[in-house]
Amino acid sequence: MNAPRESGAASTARCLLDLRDGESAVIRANNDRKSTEMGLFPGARVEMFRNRKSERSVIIAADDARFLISRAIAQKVEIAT
Amino acid sequence: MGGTLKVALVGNPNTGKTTLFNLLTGARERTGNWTGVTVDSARREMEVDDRTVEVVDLPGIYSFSPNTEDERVARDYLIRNKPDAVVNIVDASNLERSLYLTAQLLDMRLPLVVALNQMDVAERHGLRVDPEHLARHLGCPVVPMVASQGEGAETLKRALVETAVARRLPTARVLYGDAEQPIRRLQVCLIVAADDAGVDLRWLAIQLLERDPFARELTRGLFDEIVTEENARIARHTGQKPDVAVMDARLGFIRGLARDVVRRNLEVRRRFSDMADRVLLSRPVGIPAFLVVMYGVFWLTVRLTQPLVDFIDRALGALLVHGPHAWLAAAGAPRLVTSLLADGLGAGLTTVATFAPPVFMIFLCLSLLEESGYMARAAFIMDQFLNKIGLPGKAFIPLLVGFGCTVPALMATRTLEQRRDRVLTMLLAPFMSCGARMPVYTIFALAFFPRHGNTVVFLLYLIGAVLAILSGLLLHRTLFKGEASAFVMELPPYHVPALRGCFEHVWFNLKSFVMRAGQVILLIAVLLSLANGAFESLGGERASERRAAAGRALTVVLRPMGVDADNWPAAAGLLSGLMAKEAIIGTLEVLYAHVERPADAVAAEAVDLRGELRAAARGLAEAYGAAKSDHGPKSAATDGQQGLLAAMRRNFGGRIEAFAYLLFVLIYSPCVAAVVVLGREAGWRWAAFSVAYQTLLAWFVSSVFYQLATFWAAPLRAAGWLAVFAALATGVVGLLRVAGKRLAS
Repeated sequence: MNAPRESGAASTARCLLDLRDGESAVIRANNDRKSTEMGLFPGARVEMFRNRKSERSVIIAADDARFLISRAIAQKVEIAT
Repeated sequence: MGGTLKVALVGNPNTGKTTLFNLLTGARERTGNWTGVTVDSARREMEVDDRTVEVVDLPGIYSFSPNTEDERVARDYLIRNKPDAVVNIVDASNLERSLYLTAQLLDMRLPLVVALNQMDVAERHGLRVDPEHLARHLGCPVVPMVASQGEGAETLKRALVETAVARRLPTARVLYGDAEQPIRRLQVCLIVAADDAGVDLRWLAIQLLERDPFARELTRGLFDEIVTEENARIARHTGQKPDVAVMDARLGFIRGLARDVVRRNLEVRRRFSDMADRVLLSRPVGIPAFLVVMYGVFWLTVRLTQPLVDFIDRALGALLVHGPHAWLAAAGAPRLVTSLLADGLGAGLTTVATFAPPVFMIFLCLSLLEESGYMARAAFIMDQFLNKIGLPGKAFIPLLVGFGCTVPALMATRTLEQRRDRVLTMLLAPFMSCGARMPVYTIFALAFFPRHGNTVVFLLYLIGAVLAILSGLLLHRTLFKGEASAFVMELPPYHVPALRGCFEHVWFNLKSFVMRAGQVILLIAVLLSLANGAFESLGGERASERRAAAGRALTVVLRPMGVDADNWPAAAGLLSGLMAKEAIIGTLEVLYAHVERPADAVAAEAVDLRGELRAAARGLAEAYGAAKSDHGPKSAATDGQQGLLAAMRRNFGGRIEAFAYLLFVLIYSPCVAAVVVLGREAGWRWAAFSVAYQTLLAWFVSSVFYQLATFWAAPLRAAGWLAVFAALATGVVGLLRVAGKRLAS
């Protein structure tokens, strides 16, 4: 299930951190176990709510839930836009 | 099978698990839950059709992979206790996410009932969930519910009793694709091991492939070789790590399930909470709003309750201490009995009652912050700051709970994944001035700082927080090197707190707090007064001389912080404060009463009970009236009628001595209950470290303060002491550095 969902997905993997405020995407692969178990599955739709370089974590929406995620973890979540 | 049925509740945090627990069992109280932490799994019995069912509320978790202590606790309970049925609370409005835990429960092969909760929310969000379809797919009963309104409770009760009595297992299984063959091969080898451990064979095989340490422990590492071999095969076939392959198969199962039973709208819907977060977490508003909230908590807890504390102190003091003293003396009761009933029991009860208002208020504030959803936002605001001392923002929640009581604060660290973070947070939590220290501050503020009481108390809270930061920096650079760990945390939507729930939560916390502390205080007060009474009735002057000499010896170490040899009850107070911080006041009250006023003199005092009560009530009314015009905690008790306040003023000498003593009370060793929990959660070495570090730091800070504040009175002595302190501090920092290097290597 970690394979790209669409064959036309970008060759360089984009991660959650590449999303700017208000942008949304679908999770393509998640290499962090804990956040996967909390609901950031491949296929889940996410929207970036707050992404500031100076802050250690970002805030995202995944379906009906909102998450606070450290940048180090957000980096492991690959997305397809 | 006629005995009690055991049922466990399992589910994600914020899915209404505790609401369901209360609904099923009719319980009105919650355990000290903070952000998904069930401090001790709550259990309660209910009756269903003449069957007794014991319901256990396990901590709210996202999975059984043991990332955190909570997850370990829940998983271990299910494996070791094998309940007759498990009720899995699933959030219908977040079905896919909730089903991860369900999939793991299917692997565990336990009798299962799914409570599909929050159906109303799902509907509001435009989701149509089909419970029957879900039941068919899972092969177990699925009960649609709105637990907050009691809908579905009866159906659930019946379903869970039926399932538990028949011990009916779900028929569905998660299939693991390329890992299926390795699972089957492993199963053949594990038959005896699974039987010995009393766990499901297939579950054990899956866990071993996922490299679960618990499963490895159950099989004593006997199958490491085969597991490695099978894992290598999976990796070859799938090109993935085996645990990722297993998890992907599980996710595939969940997605298929959700696709079939839920019709959803793919757009992320904006909510009121999202708008609120834009403002409350923005740069210009975030930190000021946070500070306002924190000051609000302080104001409610200290400022608003102070006159009430004062009132209780006066009224109960008259009713339980002075009154009985006079009555018993008039009735010709023996001195020992008077001492035991009035100075022991009476004074002890008064002390317990005086700390109820601030403790109630701090728990109420914490509960409101938690229920409203702000607590998680505070973690975000504090993330940047806590990172500087090597902690994730999530660690802020246990620290905040520390303002209520250190014990639940230590338990709340269970949500932190890394042991390093947990231990460091546990070492810093006692610096947050707990509710039990407040009565001590309040009484001292009344005695020594009648005009600036609030400022002094606020200053003490602030000093506690500053010392936590400084200690964090020191420990981060010595014993706890390394970066703060990364974390994921759910931000629950903001909502108006359900007041009833909050009060129930607070009531439960207050009750257990009062009971726990009350027993200690009463015991100490009674023992002390008995010992005193015995001394007086037996030995006359020589005995009381001897007692004072023993007390004076205690003060030797406290001299540099301004505790005189004659003020030995202050040292004794600190000793009893180790049992429970608020016991300090009780001890001072009892000892001063005996030292300063021989029992005869006390008995001879005329007591105008009615007048005293009337004055107390007037004082209360005036204080709340005055609160509006902001006069500070002007209180009738400062008139000197209260023997304790006057005795404190005489014995401590002045404000500097009193403040140095308060600093010591703020910082020194956590109470016995906290030390025990710390030992259990972090290990006895860290508990011993905490006691030693805090006590030494307390002595250091209060002594430095005292010597600096009295520098001009005796410059030579002060300079000498300050040199000693500087050498000592350098030595301790050096020691910590060396220990840190050893730990690292």
